[in-house]
Amino acid sequence: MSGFLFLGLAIGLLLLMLFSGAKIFIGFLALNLVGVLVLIGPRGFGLFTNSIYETATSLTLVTVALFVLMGEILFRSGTVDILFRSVDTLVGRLRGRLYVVTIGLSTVFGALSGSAVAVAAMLGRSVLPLMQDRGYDVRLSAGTILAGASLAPIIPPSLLAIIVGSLADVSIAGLLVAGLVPGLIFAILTLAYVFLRQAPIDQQSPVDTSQSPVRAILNTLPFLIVIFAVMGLIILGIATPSESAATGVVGALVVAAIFGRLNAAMLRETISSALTISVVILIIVASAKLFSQLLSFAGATRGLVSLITDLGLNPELTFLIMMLIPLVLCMFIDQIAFMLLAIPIYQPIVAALGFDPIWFWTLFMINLTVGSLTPPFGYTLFALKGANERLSTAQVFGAAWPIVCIFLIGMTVLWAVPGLVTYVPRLLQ
Amino acid sequence: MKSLGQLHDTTSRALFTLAGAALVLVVMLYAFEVLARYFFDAPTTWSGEAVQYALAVLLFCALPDVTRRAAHVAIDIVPETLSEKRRWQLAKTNNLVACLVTATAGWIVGREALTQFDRGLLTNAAHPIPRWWLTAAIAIGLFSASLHFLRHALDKRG
Repeated sequence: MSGFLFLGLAIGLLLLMLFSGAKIFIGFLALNLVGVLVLIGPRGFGLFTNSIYETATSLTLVTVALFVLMGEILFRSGTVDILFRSVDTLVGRLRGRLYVVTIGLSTVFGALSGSAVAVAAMLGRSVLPLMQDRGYDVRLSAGTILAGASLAPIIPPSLLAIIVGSLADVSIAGLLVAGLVPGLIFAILTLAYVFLRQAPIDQQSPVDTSQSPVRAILNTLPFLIVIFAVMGLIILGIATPSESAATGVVGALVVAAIFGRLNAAMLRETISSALTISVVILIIVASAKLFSQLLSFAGATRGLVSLITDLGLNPELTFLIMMLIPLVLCMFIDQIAFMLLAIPIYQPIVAALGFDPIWFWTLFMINLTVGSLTPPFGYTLFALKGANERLSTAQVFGAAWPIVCIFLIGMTVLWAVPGLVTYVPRLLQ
Repeated sequence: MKSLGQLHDTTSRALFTLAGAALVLVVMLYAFEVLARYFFDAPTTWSGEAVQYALAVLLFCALPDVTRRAAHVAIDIVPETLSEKRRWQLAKTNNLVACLVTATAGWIVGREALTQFDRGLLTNAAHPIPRWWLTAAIAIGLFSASLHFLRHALDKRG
């Protein structure tokens, strides 16, 4: 079977299964089973087993489970509520105060959790009702939450970075820290958007005076333990990314203990929830791992690289096409599913065109994040809608478009100035 | 039949608890490794391997219970546009396909575990263990998940 025929049939089978509502991991598992039988026959069963075995024993992927656990401890212990009140106090009286609180809080949450869905759901439950009650513009409120939540997969630690790094064979530590500056740029761009929209002076939203600014600062300090336990230890070279995820878990436990929120019931609930989320993600990765090997085996990888290089397009145009594909497809399919499908195809092209891998994959990752907040099917949109009953789908979609534009502007800046992405990772070397 | 189903559920929940213990173990092993290496200049040769084995246990021991609770991610854009009856039929078909796929994967991995057992194959590590221990855990997780998919497909409540 020719490489292109295999690639076409494989993508067709996978999309058919995914759109018919099959579980994503089943789609990949079926694809690989059929691929092994057609391309190699029963002799390929060993290869099939090894691909699952290697993923199930991958030190890199342990990191996913650990970062999920860290985020769950902070969310379920209620310590993020303390953080919210402190940021609220510190922001003080400003135009559109709760918009600023939301963006500030999301930026910090981005450094504490790697999941946009988790942050969108949390802010949709906690901050959005306050904004709705106080007469804030619903679309702008939902938009700032969507923008803030979308910082989580960009600002380290990021689950996407770990999965991209492990599949694309790029430095995980490099990819993790590469998101730092872009994340801050997106936060600043969103703030600028809020101020440009002439947010009204917030009369109905009293500043939280139950604690002094000094107390608020003191309450935010313990969260530095978590940030240091993750990013600090990686940058200082004390821990690997996987180990830093574990030290981050310990840091989150320390924070919960400092605030007196550590108890057995919370821990049981946290472990169960973290385990479920991790398994849902990791089983998809384990099921999809073989796909890249089958692509190579069928000659599709080599064929695609030849096709792209023979087209003679300039690298900028090729880059644009490679970015447009995930942007459009992630509006319709799950970002992890797309990533697992696209990375084996993109990886040799990135190498052939000589793109800086950290720069390319960081932009690719941001692109996936934008896809997941783009109507009509972005996951982050559904997480926010699901978390807030008073929000209509039309309001969520209306809120998302300006944020998508902001992120696209930010991506253009990062494309034009690659140093914004690559500077921090270079410091690690 | 009902008691067999209950036994299957109980086993799945017990395996999920074991997976939870594996997750806690991973945190402890890594934290210990960082302390041992950085503060006592005494890195271990076994913690990384133990973490690898724990991840396999974590993933495939938790898989049956996650499947029992139907917690896996799916894209439901098309099913949501269908009538309730059609949606139910599609879900049933998807569960039957999932049962077949996981059973086939379980059979392939299980066969490989038997081969590894016969050959006495060990893990490629400083402190090797029989490789079939992990491969068998993967096969059991897949078979049990397959059974849960079948039970979902046969469930009259949809």
